[in-house]
Amino acid sequence: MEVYVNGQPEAINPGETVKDFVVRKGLFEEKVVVEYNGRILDGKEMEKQFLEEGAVVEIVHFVGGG
Amino acid sequence: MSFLAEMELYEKIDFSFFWRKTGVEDVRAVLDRESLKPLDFLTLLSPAATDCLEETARVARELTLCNFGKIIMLYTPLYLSNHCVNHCRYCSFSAAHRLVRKRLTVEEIKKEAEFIAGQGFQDLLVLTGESRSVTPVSYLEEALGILKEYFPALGLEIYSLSTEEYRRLVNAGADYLTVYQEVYNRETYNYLHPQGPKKDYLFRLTTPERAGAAGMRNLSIGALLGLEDWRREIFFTGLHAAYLQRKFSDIEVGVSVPRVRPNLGGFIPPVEVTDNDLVQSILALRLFLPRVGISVSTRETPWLRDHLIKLGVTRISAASVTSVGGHALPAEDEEGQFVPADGRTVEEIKEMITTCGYQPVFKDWHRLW
Amino acid sequence: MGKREDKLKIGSKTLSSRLFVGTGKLANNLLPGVITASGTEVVTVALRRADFHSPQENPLTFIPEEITIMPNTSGARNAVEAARIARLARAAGCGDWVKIEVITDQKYLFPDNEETVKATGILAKEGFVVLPYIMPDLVVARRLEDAGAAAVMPLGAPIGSNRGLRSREFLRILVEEIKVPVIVDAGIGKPSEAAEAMEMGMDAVLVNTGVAVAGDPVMMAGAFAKAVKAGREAFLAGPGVAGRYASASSPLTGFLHEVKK
Repeated sequence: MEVYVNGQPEAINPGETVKDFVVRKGLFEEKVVVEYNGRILDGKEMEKQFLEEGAVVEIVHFVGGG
Repeated sequence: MSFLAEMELYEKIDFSFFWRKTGVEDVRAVLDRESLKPLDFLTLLSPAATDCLEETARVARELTLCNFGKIIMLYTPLYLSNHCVNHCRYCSFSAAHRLVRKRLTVEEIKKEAEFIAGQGFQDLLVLTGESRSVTPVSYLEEALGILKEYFPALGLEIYSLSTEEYRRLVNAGADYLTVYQEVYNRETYNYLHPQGPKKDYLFRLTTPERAGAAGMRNLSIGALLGLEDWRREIFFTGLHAAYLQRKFSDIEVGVSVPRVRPNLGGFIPPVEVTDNDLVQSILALRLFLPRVGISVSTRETPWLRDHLIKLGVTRISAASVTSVGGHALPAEDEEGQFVPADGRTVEEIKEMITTCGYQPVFKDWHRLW
Repeated sequence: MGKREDKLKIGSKTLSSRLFVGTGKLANNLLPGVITASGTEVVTVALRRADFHSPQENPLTFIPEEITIMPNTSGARNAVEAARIARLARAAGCGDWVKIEVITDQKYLFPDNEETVKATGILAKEGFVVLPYIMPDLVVARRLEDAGAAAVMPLGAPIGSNRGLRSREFLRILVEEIKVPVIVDAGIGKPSEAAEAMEMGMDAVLVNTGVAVAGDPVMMAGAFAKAVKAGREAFLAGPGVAGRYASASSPLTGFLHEVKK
């Protein structure tokens, strides 16, 4: 199964939730914000949202900026 | 905050105390400031500032040159009617006075317009007394319809109307409105306007705002000097102009500084306003409001007007007739609203302006539709 | 406004420091020192896509909790994108301040005033405390006030020009005419420039590169703090009289003393 994360295609495992994906990528320790098909997900929703075929996911976080 | 509310705040100032405490150093400090606040303006109107007139004049001249160049706009008034239901104590047209009342017909308006346009004027100020029966809004609409064929810019100095009525007149061709509060001091205003619709102080005070909302592109205000303490009156005139400029950032605001002139009824102004006082007023207004037009009419003598050209004035009337019509066909037996002091012709005025090193200009605006 | 109680109110916050600090190009480990030395209470950050291959540490871990975080919408090319970034940032849970930064000019990096006004309108309605970054333009600043901006942030000079407050004449006009706080952003490279901005009446300044590229950013942050305070006090104290007007040579008002003709 394939989803688009941050503009790139990513292979995902069946039954993987958004939170699973984030943890798998080593990101959960930072504060990230996830937008799933245009909708911002909070923590609970991240745990419940299964990744669907062709979903467009944006995972963003804070960096230094002026 | 409404202007009335702003006025009421400033009316709380103990003016005598403020001016007693104002010294020449305070005035000089204000002259060095880039942008003046109301109390700086008040400082320039103090007795102490009279001792710094020359320095103030230099700043005023510089500011005027920066913002207006060496341009003097010329215009002339056309009185369409002297019918009036008000009883203003200082005005020749008061309903209480017996004088020949006249209203120009369509034909007469055309004749006057042709003559005045022939003199070179392209900016005409149209005046009437207050009479909704003789000069209703429809008459004014008709007059504007005729006059706009002759003049690229038309101004009105008429009785106070509603926003909707001003809108009709804007659509009919009016570009700007001149309306004088006459006197900002409410008690004095009430005394001087005992009868007639003009009695309503608040309606008068809010007139420029209604005209602005209706689409006039220029608003001119002023107080009739001599009716009250001129320092206070100029102060409130300046505040009023600043208020209108803030409220209508896209409208040009102008002020006039008319002094009471000999009039039918022999009203004598209770307060003396000397030439010095008038100059101080103009200079203070210029520093407080660098981009506001300042207009001086033929109420003032040739000698004074010639000197005022260099001191911050940007607009003057010429070849004025203050009786009804009277341009094309001089009406000698008619009493005008006031007796003009400067009776020079347009050519003489143009020459005077040019001699001063300035440029007389007749047109500033062209109406495309 | 008394000198004892000279605070800056923006949104629901009352700030004692008039120096805002940007975290761009600043190593995370320097953040605590810079923040302390500057005395700042508002810090800007940006939002970027997480990079899975080289995860960065979250700057927020280095910023004390009581500091107000102001995410900027850098990267947005229009109002819609700016709004989206703002919402994402708010969802990360650090308050509802946002600096709107919409840049469509890649040569000079000038902000797009038109899109910024639109974004302000959208986000102010959603309850954000909006601080738009703009080219100094009085008409635009008025529209931003009307649209609900909590402050306006005009740029002081083209980015990287390093020649002081080039837009000072326009900044002065904004200070004069705009009622919400005016905070100069971009173009303040030296503490003396920050002092100048405050002397002319700015409500606050935002400094980023000036601190980040200094040899000793922590020390420079302290210098900026002192400069902002000095400039502010000079403004409150009121400048003295320069006395430029010497006595007359050719009188303009001499005629008033003449015998009238």
